[in-house]
Amino acid sequence: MPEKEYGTINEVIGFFSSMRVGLALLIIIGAVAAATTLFFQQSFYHTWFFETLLAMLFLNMLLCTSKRCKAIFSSRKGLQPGSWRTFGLLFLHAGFLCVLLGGAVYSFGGREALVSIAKGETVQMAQALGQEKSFLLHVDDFRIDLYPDGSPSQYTSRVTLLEKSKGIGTFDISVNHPLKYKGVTMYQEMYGWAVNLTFAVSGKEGQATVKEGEFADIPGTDYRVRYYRYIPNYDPSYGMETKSLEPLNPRVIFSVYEGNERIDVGLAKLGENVSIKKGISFRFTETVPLTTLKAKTDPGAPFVWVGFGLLLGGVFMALCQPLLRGLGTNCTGKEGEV
Amino acid sequence: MGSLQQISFTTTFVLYFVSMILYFWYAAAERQAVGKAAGIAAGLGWAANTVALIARSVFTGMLPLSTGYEFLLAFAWGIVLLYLVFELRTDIKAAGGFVGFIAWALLAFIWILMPEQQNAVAPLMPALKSGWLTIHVLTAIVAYSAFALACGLAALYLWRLHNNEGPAQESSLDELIYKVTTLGFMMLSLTIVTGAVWAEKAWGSFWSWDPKETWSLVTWIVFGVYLHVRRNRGWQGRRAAILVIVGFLVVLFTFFGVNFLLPGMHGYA
Repeated sequence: MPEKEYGTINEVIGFFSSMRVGLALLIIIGAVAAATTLFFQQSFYHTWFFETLLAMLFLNMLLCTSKRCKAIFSSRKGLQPGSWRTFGLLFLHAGFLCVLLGGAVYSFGGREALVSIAKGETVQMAQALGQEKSFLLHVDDFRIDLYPDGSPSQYTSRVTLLEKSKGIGTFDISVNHPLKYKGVTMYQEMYGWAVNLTFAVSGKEGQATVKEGEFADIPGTDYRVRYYRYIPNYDPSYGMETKSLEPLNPRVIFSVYEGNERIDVGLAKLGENVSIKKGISFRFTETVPLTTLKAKTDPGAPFVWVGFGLLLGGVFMALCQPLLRGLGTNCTGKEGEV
Repeated sequence: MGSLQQISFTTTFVLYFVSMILYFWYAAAERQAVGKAAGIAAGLGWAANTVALIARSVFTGMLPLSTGYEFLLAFAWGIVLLYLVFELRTDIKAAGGFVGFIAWALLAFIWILMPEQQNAVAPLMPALKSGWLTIHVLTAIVAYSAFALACGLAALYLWRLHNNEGPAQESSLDELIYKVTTLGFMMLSLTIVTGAVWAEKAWGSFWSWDPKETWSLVTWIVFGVYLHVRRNRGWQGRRAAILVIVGFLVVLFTFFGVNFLLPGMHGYA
């Protein structure tokens, strides 16, 4: 009886490792992915259903490719005509497997975090990623370069890395030019502005710095000021969006809370005094550039890079041959099956 | 410079149309002189298309590879170039009408729906400022052009089959469709990989399931399935030709559908 059971298992494995199943899976994945762009949310690609499909494809190709691998190495003694194609196909499939593997490693072992840092602030970059080994990142400056027409040409964060309070160096991080240090890659992701505000309670002044969405408590009172967004060039016809990035008509969008209740929403110029109640007022004094970096660790990346190399090398090895065999001259018919 | 751009565009548009008509006439009547004239019109049209691309490049000060309009202009250019190389090497002229129609229709699309883009210049946004832009878009143009040529050949194949010329005579055409598709598949693989490498640098991730990425993967799957079933499951001739045409429709959706209906991170049109 166990022999028969064994046979059944082998049959199942044999069926599951067939190209027919692989192609069916590919078609299903393609159809589901396409349907998702039209009907579902982006998050569908990260559901267990879709990930199971990808895992099944991985398993199928792993079995199918290793079967082919075994067949090739047991039958061949040396390189023969057609070997380029044979090995090319092998590399291509192995490369695709490596890319899938890299993606899986990333989804299990990779980390990613968005960190918003105002100019002059220092953060524990590795802490943001929930890691132990840590280095500090200090934002020296953030700047937006503009084209003559006022549209953005580059966003650059100038940062200094520190380890155990020893400076490692000063670097620029900009779009398309990430910075990599100790396995953490940092990308220029977004930007914004923090604001400094000064409040006055019965003639006594105090100060605070807040980032977008944050509250500043006015001490000694029940009032809180929430800073939403800074608009460098305000134009009512653009609504809450800025007309351009030049600070031609700056405004700060804010709201005022009493306890948990919002009692006012407004726009203020820099330096404009906003009175909440007799004797209690505040004003936004200046903006501080703020950068949002994406920090990432990706233990799967080496697999992806190797995979890309194998995939492209394999595609060219496998497909150049039939291509070079003459567009047109005279087609000698079918090549040997692999 | 704007006017040279317009003149060369219009010239290209007219010549591609004339060559398409002549090619169809040739295919129907098999007159050598007509075939020759069609080839000359296509060649001149391609030269005008080249001038249009150069004029555009001078106008913007960049390679004409960054907007939807520029891509379509370069796409039509790639199709006709690839077709002319194909015609010179194989002496098959009957597909010229089908292939020419695709190139001409792309220009008609510009003419009808995005004429204002000819005079528009927008500087490159930060994410596009990368050396990867050139290689990513160039490989896409070669890939898409190859799929367009394969689609035209497949249309010819089905048309001949419909006219009862018999599948046996067409096996060499079937083989040619396979080879051109193969070229497209290689270049599409390069497009996707260079895109992923670039996305890693610019957005911090190789793959984000952005609609454009997803549809390029769907295209890759369709042609990947074609390559598998053709070699291993004996799908040749009619079914294979239909699959190639379906693949090209997916290519068109990857460009038009995604640019105009499903904007994502690739929304540059």
